[in-house]
Amino acid sequence: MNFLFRKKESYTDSEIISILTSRKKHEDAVLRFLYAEVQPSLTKFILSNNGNRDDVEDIIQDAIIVFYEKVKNNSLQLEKTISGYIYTVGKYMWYNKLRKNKKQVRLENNDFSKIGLDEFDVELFHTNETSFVKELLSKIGKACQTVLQQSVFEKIAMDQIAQLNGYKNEQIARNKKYRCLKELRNVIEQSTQYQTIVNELCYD
Amino acid sequence: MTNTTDRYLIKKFLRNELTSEEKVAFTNRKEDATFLEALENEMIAVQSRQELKKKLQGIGADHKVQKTNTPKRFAPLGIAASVILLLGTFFFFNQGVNNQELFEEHYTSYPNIYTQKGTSDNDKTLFEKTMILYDAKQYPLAKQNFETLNSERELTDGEQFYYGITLLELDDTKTALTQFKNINNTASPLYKDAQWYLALCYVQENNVDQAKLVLTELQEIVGKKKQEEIKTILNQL
Repeated sequence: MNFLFRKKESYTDSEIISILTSRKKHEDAVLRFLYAEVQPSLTKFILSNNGNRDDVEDIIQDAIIVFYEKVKNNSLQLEKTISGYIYTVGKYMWYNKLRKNKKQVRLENNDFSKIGLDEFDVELFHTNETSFVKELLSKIGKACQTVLQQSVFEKIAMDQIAQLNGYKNEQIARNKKYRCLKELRNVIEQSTQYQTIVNELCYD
Repeated sequence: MTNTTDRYLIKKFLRNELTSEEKVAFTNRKEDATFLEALENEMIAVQSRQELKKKLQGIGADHKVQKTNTPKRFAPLGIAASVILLLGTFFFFNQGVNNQELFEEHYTSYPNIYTQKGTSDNDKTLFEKTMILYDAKQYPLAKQNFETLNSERELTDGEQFYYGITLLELDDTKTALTQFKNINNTASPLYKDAQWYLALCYVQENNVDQAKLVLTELQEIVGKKKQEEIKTILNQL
C-alpha cells in the first residue's frame, strides 16, 4: 500500500476546489501549494513594476485570500487555471495599490470586473474597517467568533461545527450560531458609528 | 449573494466613508433583514480574512526559511540567520501549529479496498453500506453506521481501520487513535497501515514521544522506500 507513504506535493485544479469546498483537513497543504505555485510569477511581475519583496508577499497572500473566499462562496469565475486566476487577482491588486500611491504605472488593463472582482476585493484590507470590526467582534466573545467564522466564512456544515467545538449535537450548534448573530446585531446597533448615522439623520 | 449597492453601502459603512447621501441610503436599508444579514456576514468575513492572512504570513515565512536554508559553503551568517528565523517562527506560532501542519502534510485518506459484491441494497451488510458512504465522503453518516456496528458487536480490524480514517476526516483524533491502537495483531494485513495512522494521530495530538516510538518500530518492518519516508518524518519531528 505504497500510496500511504507518498508525500502529496501537487494538486490539480479540481482537487484544490474539492478540498476547499469539502475537506477541511487538507486546506493548509493546499494553501502552501498555491503559495509556492504563484510566488515566482507574482514576484517577477511586482519587482518589475516598482515593488519590493514585502509587497510581493503581501499581494500573494491577499490574492490567495480572494481566491479562497470566492471558492467558499461559490462565486469563482475561473477562465483559466487557478494559479493564473490568482496571478491576475494579484496583478489587479498591485495596479490598484500603485494607482492609490499615485506612482507611475504602465496600466495595461485595470478592468477587474471581468473576473468578478470589485473595488473592495482589490483593496482587501482597510485600517478603519479592520479596527472597527475587531472592536465590535471582541464584544461577542471568542466562542461566538469561532462558530460564526466556521459557518459563514469557512462554510463548514453545522454537524461538523458541533464536533469541532464540542457541542453535543447539530441543534446546539445552530442555537449557538443564532444567539451569536443576535448578539452581533445588538453590538452593531449600539456602536457609535451606527448611532452617529442614525442620530444625524434624525436631526436633519 | 449580496447585491452590488448593498455591498457598496456595507463596505463604506464599515470603512466609515459614507457620504451624506449614502448615509440616507444606508438608513433606508438598515431595517431590511437581507441587508442586515449581509452586514453581519461581511463583518465576520473581515475578521476571518485577517486570520487567514496570518496563516498565509506563516506560510510565507516558511518559504523564506526554506530558501535561506539551501546549503551554501562558507555562509555561517546566513545559516545562523535562518536558524534564528526558524526558531522565531517556532516560538511565535506554537508547537501545535507545526505538528498540525506536519500531520496535514503526511495525511492522505485511505481508499476502499473492499470490493462491492453486486448485490442489491437490501442484501448488503451494514459494513458494505457504510463503505459506500465512505467512498462518497459522507463521513458523518459513515461514522453513525460504524457506531451502530460497534454497539452491536466487536469490530473487525478492517472495520476499526475505516472507522479510524472516518474519524480522522471528521477531526476526531482522540477516538480515531483508539481504533488504530486496537489493531495490535502484527499478523493483520492492516497492521502496518494502522500503525502509520496511529503515529499521525500522535503527531496531531502533539505527543511527539509516542509518535517517534511508533514510527521507529514501524521503520523496522516496512520496505526500504517506506523507511526513507519515515526517516524524513522523524527528522521533521
